[in-house]
Amino acid sequence: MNVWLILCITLLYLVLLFVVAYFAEKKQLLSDKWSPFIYALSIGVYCTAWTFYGSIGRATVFGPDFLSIYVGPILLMPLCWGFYRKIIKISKVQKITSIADFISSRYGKNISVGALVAAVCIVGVIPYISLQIKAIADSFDILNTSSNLAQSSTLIQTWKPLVVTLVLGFFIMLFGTSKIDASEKHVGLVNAIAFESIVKLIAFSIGGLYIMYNILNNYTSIQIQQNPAVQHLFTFDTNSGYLKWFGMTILSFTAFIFLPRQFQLGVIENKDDAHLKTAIWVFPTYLILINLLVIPIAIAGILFYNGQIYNPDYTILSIPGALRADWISMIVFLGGFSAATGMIIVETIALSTMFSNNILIPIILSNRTLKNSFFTHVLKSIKWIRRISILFLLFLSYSYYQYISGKYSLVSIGLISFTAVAQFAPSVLFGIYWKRASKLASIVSISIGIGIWFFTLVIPTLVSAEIIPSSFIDNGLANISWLKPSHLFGVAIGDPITHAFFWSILLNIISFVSISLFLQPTSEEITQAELFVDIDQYSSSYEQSFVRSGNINIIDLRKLMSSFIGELKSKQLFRQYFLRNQLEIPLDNQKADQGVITYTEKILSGVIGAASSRIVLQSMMKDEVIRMNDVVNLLKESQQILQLNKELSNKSSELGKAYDALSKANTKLKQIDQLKDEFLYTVTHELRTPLTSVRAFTEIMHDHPDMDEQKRQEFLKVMVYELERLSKLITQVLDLEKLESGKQQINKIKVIPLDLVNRVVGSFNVDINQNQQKIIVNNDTKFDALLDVDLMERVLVNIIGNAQKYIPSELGKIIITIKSTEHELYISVEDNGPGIPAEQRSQVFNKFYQVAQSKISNAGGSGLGLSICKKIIDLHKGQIFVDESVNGGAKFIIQLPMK
Amino acid sequence: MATKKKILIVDDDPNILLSVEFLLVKNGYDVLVARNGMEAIEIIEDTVPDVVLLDIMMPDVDGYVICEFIKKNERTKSAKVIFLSAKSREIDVDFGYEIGADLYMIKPFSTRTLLEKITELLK
Repeated sequence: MNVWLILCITLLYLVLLFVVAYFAEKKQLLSDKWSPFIYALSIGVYCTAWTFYGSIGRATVFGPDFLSIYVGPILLMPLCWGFYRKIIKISKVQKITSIADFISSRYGKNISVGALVAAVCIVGVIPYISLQIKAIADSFDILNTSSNLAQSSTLIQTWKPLVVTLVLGFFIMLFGTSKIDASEKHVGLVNAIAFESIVKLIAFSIGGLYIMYNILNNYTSIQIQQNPAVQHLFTFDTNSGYLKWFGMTILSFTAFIFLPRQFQLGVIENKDDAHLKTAIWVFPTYLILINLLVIPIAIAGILFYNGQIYNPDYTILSIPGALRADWISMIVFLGGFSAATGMIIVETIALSTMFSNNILIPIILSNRTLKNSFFTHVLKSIKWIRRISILFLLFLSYSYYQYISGKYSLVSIGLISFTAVAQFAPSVLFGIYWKRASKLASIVSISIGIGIWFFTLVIPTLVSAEIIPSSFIDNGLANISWLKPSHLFGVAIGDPITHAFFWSILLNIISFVSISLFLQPTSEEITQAELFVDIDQYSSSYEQSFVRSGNINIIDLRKLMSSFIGELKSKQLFRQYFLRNQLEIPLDNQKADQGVITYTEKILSGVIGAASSRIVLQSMMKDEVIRMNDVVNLLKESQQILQLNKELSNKSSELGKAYDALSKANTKLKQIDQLKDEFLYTVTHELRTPLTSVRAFTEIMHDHPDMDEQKRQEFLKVMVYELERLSKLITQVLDLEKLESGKQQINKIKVIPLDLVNRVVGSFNVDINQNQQKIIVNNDTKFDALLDVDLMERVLVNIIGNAQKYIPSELGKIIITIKSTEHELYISVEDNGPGIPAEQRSQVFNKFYQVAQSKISNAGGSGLGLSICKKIIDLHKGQIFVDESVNGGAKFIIQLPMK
Repeated sequence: MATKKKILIVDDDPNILLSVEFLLVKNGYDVLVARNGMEAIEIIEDTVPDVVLLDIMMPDVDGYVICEFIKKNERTKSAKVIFLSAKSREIDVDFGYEIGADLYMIKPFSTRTLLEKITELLK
């Protein structure tokens, strides 16, 4: 294909990737329910160019051996997810930014540990990054030369890898340094990587299916089976086979967790540890899918090239090329490109965080002049330190590619990196499960492990690159035969990788355990050990778990924090801290307590890593760490208190019943109290509204003596009305209180019900006649009834008054019906107003209930009238309820006993 | 001459509208009146007032919602919001400020203070 076309498409792809990241960051492309899947797919960054191209090469030469590095994650991820989740939990609580940060935090936030881990990562993983550059460059060449129309200029040929590296560097800076807080989530990055995982799977499947269809279809199954090279593919080397597979399973699982890019996406970028539940099946499925076609492609390669010399690593790209399927090749190339770039991007971001937080910033902080200028431009400095780190790391990778990695296959370089990061396994594993694990043990064991790694794996590559004489390999160090890199201690175990892994991890573990057992841990280590091992107990009370006598003011702490994360955000975080812990917000010049100091340290460690943030805080104050025995005692004390509580609550089981009864009574009292409060609140609220008008009008009339007479009259009228409303409300509140408290006496006398009704109706007649409204009374009883006349009049006034408010001013009609049996009196009041909706009928007797949307009720209604009626009827042992009248209005029905 | 400042009063009690409208017109403001939440929102969508006097408990849309509407809308958020409410509990007041009110006055309020505060807010 035309070189410019390839370059254009590649660049477009990078832009697309960036667009995906950008939109995911700003707009949130997919709803939250997808985030577990995005998380699982992003861990798919495990599959790099090594998987995409290298597996086929490995399968062609060694058979099923290529699968060994996937067995670890596939088997152990579902089995060991509790271990993984613990790491995630700890990292969240401690605001961990990288694997170096994790290990250094565990061992007392020690700078040396952090720097050592960071250095190991850089040394171990740089070759792996360079391998991706190599894959991009090689695949580009294959794509470019597979067509005869190649017009590549030599200029591009030579500079291409460097250009690719620089363009990627630019993209990584965009991705990685937009946020200062390295423990903050890079949503865009995660989405882009998940997207790349999908691209590489699809591209690989398209390439694979194309090759199978075009090559394997031309051969019969007998032809395929009898090819000796194909047969070799299915032979399992039983000699060192089992040991090797066992070793690889462990090795690949540790790599899966500790490789900086895996730690970044799997632990740091994890939003919610519940997402693991999805990841433990999605991720293994992904690995199986992407490996499904490897063997068929390898077989197709052997058949297609039939004895010719070819580079089996790139079978999937070179066959479509040879068949002139340009677009298939392009798709495959993009798949490989995304596999490689995904790895480079995340690995570089993770490494640069470590390089800046664990190596550069501690160096800067140890130098007085550098430190001062760092503090004056904190935000800018950190950004630039990160950017420089990214460029520096890419430059290292590029150099490695130029001088060394050209001579190795993709897989062998990758495995060397795996073995390097596996050296962290003992420090982490013991660190989170064993409280005695000590700092020195960690430093020594990682150093020993990495030393053996260097000796057994790196030196041979340097020999091949002709940097070290080959006699070294043949005769051993200083001609001592048991110091030969490939036969350490005179023992040869399987292939070089298994050999190196076995010896480095064995000595690593032995030194770790023996030193930890031998040493008395320091106070700082004990604290962190407690926090890591018993994460579930401390995850919520992290800030309280430190004891230190600080000598720093609140204002200084806040200034410090705002120089790192900006004034506004630090102000918010401080407020949050005090609110969350229900503390009073202290004055600026007050001394900061340990909680705030630790909180600040934690926030800062999100930006510059745990170890650096500790130095910053220590340098800010005369920090005297209190004897840590006290800390441990404190922690133990709080645990003892918990224990004691448990026992007490057990003992109280005998008192249980009494307690239950009491608490029930208490709840009831509280409820009554609350109802009372609620009532009082509503009453005062109801009082406030008329008072507001009265006060406003009074003040206005006082302040504006010149207002015209008509206006004054209008205002006075309103005031009179509002004052009436007020006094009515007060009367009713008092009435209700009397009824509710049981102080209301009932005074029954013999009355004729019709007389009672007529008296009340008479009081309405003046208004009624003015308004052309009618009240009709139907009487159908001759009996006397025993009633409290005074109270019953109040009930009728209320109900008829209500009805009058709702009926139309013309042709409004109220019908009152009186009936009785020997034992029961029945009075109904119906109107032709709008009626009361069925669902509200049961509530109208509640205090302060007003039928929704009926503003008329506000006209003088207090919302208490009907509840008073109900109380009075209750007092008579009768019933009152609402129904719908025949003409659609409301119908109030009262039933009373005759005696 | 400077243009008159626009004030919108939102309350479902006609007597409060009557008094406050009179007060503000007398003091040289341009007054708009809304009897309920929907009316208020219609008016705000049409013209952005300088100050909005808001009741909270109204039958359709309550005052909190209107306040949020004003403060979240780029176009209208310059309007000052004063709650005039009978809701007198501390949490009511806090909530009012939380959603962006410039002032919270508990009913019954002093008309003199109200005028002073409006002048202050409009400075």
